[in-house]
Amino acid sequence: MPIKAVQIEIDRQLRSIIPGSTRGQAIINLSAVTGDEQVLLEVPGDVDLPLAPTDLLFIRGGEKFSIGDGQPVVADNPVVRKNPGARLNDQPMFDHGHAQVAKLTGADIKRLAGGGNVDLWVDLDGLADELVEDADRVVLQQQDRFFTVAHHDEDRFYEVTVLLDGETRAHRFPAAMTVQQAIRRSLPPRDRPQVSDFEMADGNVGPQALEASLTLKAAGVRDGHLLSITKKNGGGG
Amino acid sequence: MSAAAIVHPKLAQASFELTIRPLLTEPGKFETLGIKLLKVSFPYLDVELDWYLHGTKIALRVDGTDFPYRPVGGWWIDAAGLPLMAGSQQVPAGNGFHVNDQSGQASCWFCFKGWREYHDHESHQDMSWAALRGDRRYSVLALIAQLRTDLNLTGVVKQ
Repeated sequence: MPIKAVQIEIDRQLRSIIPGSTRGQAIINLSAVTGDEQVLLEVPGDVDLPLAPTDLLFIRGGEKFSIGDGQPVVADNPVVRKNPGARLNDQPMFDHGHAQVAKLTGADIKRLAGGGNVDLWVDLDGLADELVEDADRVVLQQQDRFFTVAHHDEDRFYEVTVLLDGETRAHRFPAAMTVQQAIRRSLPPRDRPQVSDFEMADGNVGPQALEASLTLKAAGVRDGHLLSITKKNGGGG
Repeated sequence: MSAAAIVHPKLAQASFELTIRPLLTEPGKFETLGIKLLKVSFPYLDVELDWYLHGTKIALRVDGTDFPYRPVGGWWIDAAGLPLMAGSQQVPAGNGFHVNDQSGQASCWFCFKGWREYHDHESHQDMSWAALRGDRRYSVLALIAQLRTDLNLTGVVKQ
């Protein structure tokens, strides 16, 4: 079951908000700012980041926002002291020495991944992954995890239910993601390094495990399917 | 079951039914995944597992007595609810599926972490159920789903 709401802090007051992909405007609306005031995402040890209404950020709960009086105005996309700790395709997003800003568009992030005809996704633990469009400008945060998959014009993603550890949970996976990538994204972080110990079956396709190297589309997964993840071998003695 | 209860039966029943609630509320989803709900009558949960490797199905009884203080027990049953034994070519054997208990008596049990008979076995006293019971990986429905996978491993034979 998806998480309904999490709490964030705005001007030292707790507010409830739906987690996941959020526009800056939603935070601004909760802040009730007036005049020249700016809503800023607090970044420990670095420049706080002002939110523009169309900025995209990924809320998990616990984020802190402050309200600046606009004197002086903080630049829309300020240069920051440290590389944002976001990761891209399981690697740090930025090389050392990169000119750092903490807001990048989807197109910028794709370029950092090497470009090509790919879709950009953000991996949100416990929530359905989100597709990031080229024009979206993302306010990068330490815990953001992006990945790219080959672009498909049709069937860009499948909304499925996954049974894992006795619980069913809704997921949205890119159609071009491999079965193994989908398993990895479903597992709790502690198990991800051992992803090859696990297998996925699609009850709508058949009882056998899906081939790990196939894309979900090639493996027969479709919208509304029921998937289960178990260890390949339960370790019976 | 004549042994004295460790956990009050109402508490054990509440804990057991809470952990299997997804199966009770969404049985169709589990059936699609090869786990068919047959009957719930505490302390027992009966399900039918898809044993596709042998082109058949097999009924499993899960015993929630004293849950969660003790892990659940499990064994195979026939249509009348009686334990299935080896020799009828209906039960799995090998890769953790045993057909005799420690004393050599005919009795099907599962040598997998999280099942009562595993933790009761003298060889597994170094693996405490108390250390596992808070881990969703060993929740009742996770154990059943894993059992369905293990049931269909090459090397598990009918006996």
